[in-house]
Amino acid sequence: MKSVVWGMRHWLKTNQGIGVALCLLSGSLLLYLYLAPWASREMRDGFTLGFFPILGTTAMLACALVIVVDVYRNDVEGGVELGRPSDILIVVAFLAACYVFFLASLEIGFLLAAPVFLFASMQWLGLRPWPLAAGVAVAMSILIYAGFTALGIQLPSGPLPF
Amino acid sequence: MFQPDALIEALSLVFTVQTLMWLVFGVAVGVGLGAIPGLTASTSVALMLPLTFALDTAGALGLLIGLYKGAVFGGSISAISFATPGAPDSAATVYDGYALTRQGKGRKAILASLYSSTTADTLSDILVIFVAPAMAIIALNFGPTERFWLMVLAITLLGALSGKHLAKGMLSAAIGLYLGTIGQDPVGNVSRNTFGQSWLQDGIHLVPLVIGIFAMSRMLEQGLDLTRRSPGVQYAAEMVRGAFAKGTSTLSFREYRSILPQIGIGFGVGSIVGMLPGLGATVASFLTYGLAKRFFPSKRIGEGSIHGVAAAEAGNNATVGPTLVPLLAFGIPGSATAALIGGALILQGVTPSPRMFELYPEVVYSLFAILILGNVVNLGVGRFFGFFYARLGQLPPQMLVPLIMLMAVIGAYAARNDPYDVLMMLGLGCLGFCMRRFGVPEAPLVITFLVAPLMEQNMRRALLINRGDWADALFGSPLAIGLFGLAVLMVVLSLKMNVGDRLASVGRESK
Repeated sequence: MKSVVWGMRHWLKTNQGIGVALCLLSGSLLLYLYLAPWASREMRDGFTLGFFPILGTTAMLACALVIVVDVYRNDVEGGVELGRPSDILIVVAFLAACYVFFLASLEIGFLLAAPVFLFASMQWLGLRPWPLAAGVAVAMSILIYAGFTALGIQLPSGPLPF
Repeated sequence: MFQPDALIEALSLVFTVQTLMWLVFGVAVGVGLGAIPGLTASTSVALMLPLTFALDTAGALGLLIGLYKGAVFGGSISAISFATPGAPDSAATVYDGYALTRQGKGRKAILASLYSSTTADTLSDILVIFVAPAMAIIALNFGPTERFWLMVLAITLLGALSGKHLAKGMLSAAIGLYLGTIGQDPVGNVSRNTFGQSWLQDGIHLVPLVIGIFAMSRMLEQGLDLTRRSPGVQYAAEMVRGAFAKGTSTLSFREYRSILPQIGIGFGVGSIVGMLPGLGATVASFLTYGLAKRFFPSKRIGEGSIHGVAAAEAGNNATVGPTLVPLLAFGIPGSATAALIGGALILQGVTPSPRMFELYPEVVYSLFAILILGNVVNLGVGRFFGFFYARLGQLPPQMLVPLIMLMAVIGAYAARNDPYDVLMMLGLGCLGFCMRRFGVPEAPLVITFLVAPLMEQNMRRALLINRGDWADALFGSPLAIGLFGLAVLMVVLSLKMNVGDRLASVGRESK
């Protein structure tokens, strides 16, 4: 039983396993496009509106099918082999942190949100000592804000008067 | 085709304090970012793309081309200093460059890299000035059918040569084609493929796409790696201090003359490779290195020789100018960075195409002048600050990753002040991360995304001209049939001979 589970886990990491997942994804997208009413709408030049989106999706499906059956089907890419399930959580955490920083900068301004984001991220990634991280976070935030302002690009200022 | 008035206007646009300042800024930042392992030329250009909104066309070109040239040279600094190439383009430089550093000749290696880079780059830029207009004249005779097949051929080449796995290269191009159709159709401006979301009606904007795919995805990858840190930076730092201490040997004029044959090979190989879509600087660098090693066995290339450094660096820098030839002559970017420069031109209201030489000659001449001037600035910045940049590579990635993520977020937002662009950039960053993990190259996606509307326009125009007859619209001329045949041949050859795989591993056997 253990060997079956291990074999299944290994297969999911191979090009073939990922190719099957890609087939399902692109196949679903193709079906959605095919059934969408706008896709079959004919334009004045006789072209259907969905021709190119369907062409792109069909090409994606065809490539995914080739990945499933070609000579590299049993290979495992280095990045996939080293991957762990927890990677997904870490990547989502990074993306969420970036989005929270963005929302915060809209609310309280870039100059207040950026040092907090930079300091927290640097600490999370292991930059020590903390006074160095704090100094870099504040200095870089001011530098970036000044640079963008000098270029005429206004970053969110929030409640601050500048 | 030569327009003296436009040349004078272009020179007056380029030789302004503002444009020159942006060129110097671009090179200085480019060398710095290139010297930091993990930051490639395309990442640097993608991060700085939003700044070009605030600049005029000449300033924008100065900034981006300066960044590109600086970053390609900058990659050699960390390759020589820590045996960690700033980008894959400089991987071949590690063999001799790092061996020289260990012998205490790091200064000599960096100077050999700088002089060979700028010499080969200048020669290839001069070649571009002669070749691009001639190719554009030929391209002007192409009809919509031929243009359509030319784009298909370019995408096929990109997919086939971008990595060892043809299907993954083509998958990347297919994703780019699909993403390029989101928004409105390019002929009737009718909304399509928006999943009912009104914010998708304008389509996916170029800036969040390139920042997400080239910058955020790499930072996600580096951030993830940092959570499983490994030691080693301290050792490298000590090595650099010793290698670049005062009194270490520099590069004499006689030594510079002795590396000219390797620079010549780099110029030839880099120029040809640069003009072909999909190959890029890494292949040029390894090919030149392999050829120099074979032709000059007495130079002991591979054992810590400035000739090896010169060959590798001349090869990769000689691709910088020629990679713009397909963009200028046909409107088709030949590499990721050329796509970004093409994108910047589009954002400035200048669509790259063969007609650019007629419609915007002052922009083309400005581009040529900036290409040449960029080498002079690169030489100056590299000569006086190269050793300072060697220390930049020691900046802890724990500091850089959050900084670049922050720049990516505000860069995506600043372009149009649209919060959805930030969401889009983060989503595309996630897509880019997954692609990198699965070994799918990013360049075909971005290039096909840019080319997709043009492909559709040309195909529909061909159909209109031929009154809806598909056979005539697609295969109405011998040239169209020839281009179609070449595209098919390229796919068949790639499958039979594993061309991409061979190119991906080129030069490695020579070590």
